[in-house]
Amino acid sequence: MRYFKVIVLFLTLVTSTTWAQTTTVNVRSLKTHQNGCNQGCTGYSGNADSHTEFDNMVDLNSQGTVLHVDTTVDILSLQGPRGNTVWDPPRARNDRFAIIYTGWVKPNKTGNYSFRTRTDDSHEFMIKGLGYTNDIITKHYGWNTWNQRDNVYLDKDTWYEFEMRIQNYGGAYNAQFQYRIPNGSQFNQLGGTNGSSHPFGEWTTEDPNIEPITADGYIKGAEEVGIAGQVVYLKTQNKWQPGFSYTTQATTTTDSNGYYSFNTTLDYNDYDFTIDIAPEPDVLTVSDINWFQDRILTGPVSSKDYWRMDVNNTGSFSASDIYTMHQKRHGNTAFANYPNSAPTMWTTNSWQNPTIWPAVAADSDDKTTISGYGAWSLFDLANGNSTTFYVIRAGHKN
Amino acid sequence: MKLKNILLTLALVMGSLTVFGQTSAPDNTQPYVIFDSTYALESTTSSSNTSADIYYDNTSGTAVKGIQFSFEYDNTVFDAPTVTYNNTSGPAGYLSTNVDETNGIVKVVWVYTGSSTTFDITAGNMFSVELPFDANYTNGSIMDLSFTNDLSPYYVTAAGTDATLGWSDNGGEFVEPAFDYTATILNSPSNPADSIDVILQKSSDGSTWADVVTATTDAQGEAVFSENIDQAFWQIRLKIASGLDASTALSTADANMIAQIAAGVQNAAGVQWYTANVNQATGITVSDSYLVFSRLAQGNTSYPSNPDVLFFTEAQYNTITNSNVDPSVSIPGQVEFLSPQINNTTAGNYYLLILGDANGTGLN
Repeated sequence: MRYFKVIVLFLTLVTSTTWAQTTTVNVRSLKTHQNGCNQGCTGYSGNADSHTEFDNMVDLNSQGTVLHVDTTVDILSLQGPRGNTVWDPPRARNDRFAIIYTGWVKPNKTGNYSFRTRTDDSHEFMIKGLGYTNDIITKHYGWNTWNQRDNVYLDKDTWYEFEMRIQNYGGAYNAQFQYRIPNGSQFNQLGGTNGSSHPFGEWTTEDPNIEPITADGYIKGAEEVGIAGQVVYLKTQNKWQPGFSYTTQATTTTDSNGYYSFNTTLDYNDYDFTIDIAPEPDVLTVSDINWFQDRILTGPVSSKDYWRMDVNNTGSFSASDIYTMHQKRHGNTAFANYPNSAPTMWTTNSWQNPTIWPAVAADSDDKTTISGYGAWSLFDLANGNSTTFYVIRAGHKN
Repeated sequence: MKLKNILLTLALVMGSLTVFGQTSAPDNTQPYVIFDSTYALESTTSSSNTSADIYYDNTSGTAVKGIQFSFEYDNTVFDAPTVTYNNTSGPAGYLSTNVDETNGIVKVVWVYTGSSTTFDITAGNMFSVELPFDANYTNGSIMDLSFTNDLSPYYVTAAGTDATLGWSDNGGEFVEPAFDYTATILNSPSNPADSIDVILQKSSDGSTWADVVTATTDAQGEAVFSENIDQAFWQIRLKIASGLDASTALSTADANMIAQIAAGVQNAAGVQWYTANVNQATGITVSDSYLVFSRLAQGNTSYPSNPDVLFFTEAQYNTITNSNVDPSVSIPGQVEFLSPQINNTTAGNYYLLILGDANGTGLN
């Protein structure tokens, strides 16, 4: 008996989990025919009498259209497109308003659906990407007239982006949205007892199809310790665009551990992306310089030292390197640039040159004499990649 | 007063030459680091470390911002040295050193850390090297300090590049602590012995002695020594070799006086127990007088069986001169003079008596 209770509880939880579908969608409530621009100057009539007029009506750039609120609602509630005369969308007033429901929906069944809609006044119901003109499934420009479309094939494993526009110019306002499931015999409304018998599917405000671009990693110095405060760029170009011509989409700086991360709303399906850095040398420190001076005597040197320590680019480490560092630290203009065209920075990263850093870190030869050693360019990253950049800065221990 | 001033000036000039003569750049072609000719070694029992200054000088006219060099020390004698910067160019500098105790190599880097663009390292005793004795070291030869190429000798130019730093190694020799001593050789308190060769000897064990140097007495009977000998380690003494020819001190007057003593006409007193007892047998007899007469007559430069000279310490001499009886049994004197140890003393009087010189002419 005790086990039976446990099984019942388990099944209850599983069932709840399985059928706890989200039904929240976006809604934008607009005041229309505003700004002393009742008709004729708005790009739309009293009612939206065409798709173009509806486009204009819901466009915030239109002279007569003002945003009342952007919010979300439960599409199965009376705030959703249902209830006929008891339809209760968020609105600023009872006339001269427009409601736009948007979001994504995934039907519970695969097959041919029928849809019919009736509102006061005009409406358009759109499912994008199915190939219908202007993506419109049902529409009516006027009021209180049913419009029906059959054989709309939907797949139960696909999220479909939808939009439903309803507007009321004056007088009564109402909304009805009904559907007939594949092989169904009757139409069902959204929500309520009837809707609950044959729920249409799952609704959501965000695009479940999107793959947000994320990336993280570190900027580390010669001692493989993170460098704080370094600027990191996330750059994109259109997906499958030939060549590399990135533009910056986001910027961040490394934290105290040299860590950076990007969590964007950019769709990886739309963009190729890369990470770029623009490391800057800090002011040289006495402690670092003294460390280098002691290192002249103690050795052994590593390949890294030819970038960070041989600041006068002579191929050896001597007191003159140390003096040069101190003058650089003091801002002596004669040392604005290091002698003998010594570079101030050398970078590599763990993706494009995965074997470079281990060699630089472990070897002791002078790799600065190898032309272009470790050089890298911007390159496409896979979504979620973690990229560690290594930066050797002349005169800096790390 | 005027003469005194002149002497003082001369002394200062000589002193300056002594101090700085080995610490300047040898030429004006480049900057130099310099080892002095000698460095005073601390006594092995001293609580202080031996210190050696490394000098820097530059008459080339080129501004120098830093230097690096290395040098070698005797790691069988010294533990790891420490190098300190003597602030000769001010405090804005950083010194790095590294000691390789296995090979006895010290590397030194000093770099100006200030912001002045006109800085130039100042000449002087830029570094001091403190060298503690190795615990196992007692005494022995010590390798000189010398510069090495273990760290490339560079100086830093104003452009932040390297240029060759010169070495000037004037010796870098370690010398033991000074030992100054004056030995006065006397015939009598008022009669110094001239032209006597006095040998300074040292020994580590008291049985094997080595000659250090020989000094000859002057008209005041003084033999002056100024050597570098660690008295804490060495036993030190004086030696005067046997075989001196004292013929010049002998005359018939001496022979007659001896004869008179032998005949009882005179009584022997003090040193005459030695000078009149030529054959060194018991008592003064006619045979002693004969030996003198015979030597003079034949023109010999020595006696057949007896030395010309016997040596005594001052204490012995004073005992002898105050004696009314023959003290020669208890104080026979030394034919070859070997002094007691003279460690930790600066002067001493020593006496010689000439057999046959009964009237005390002395060796002059």
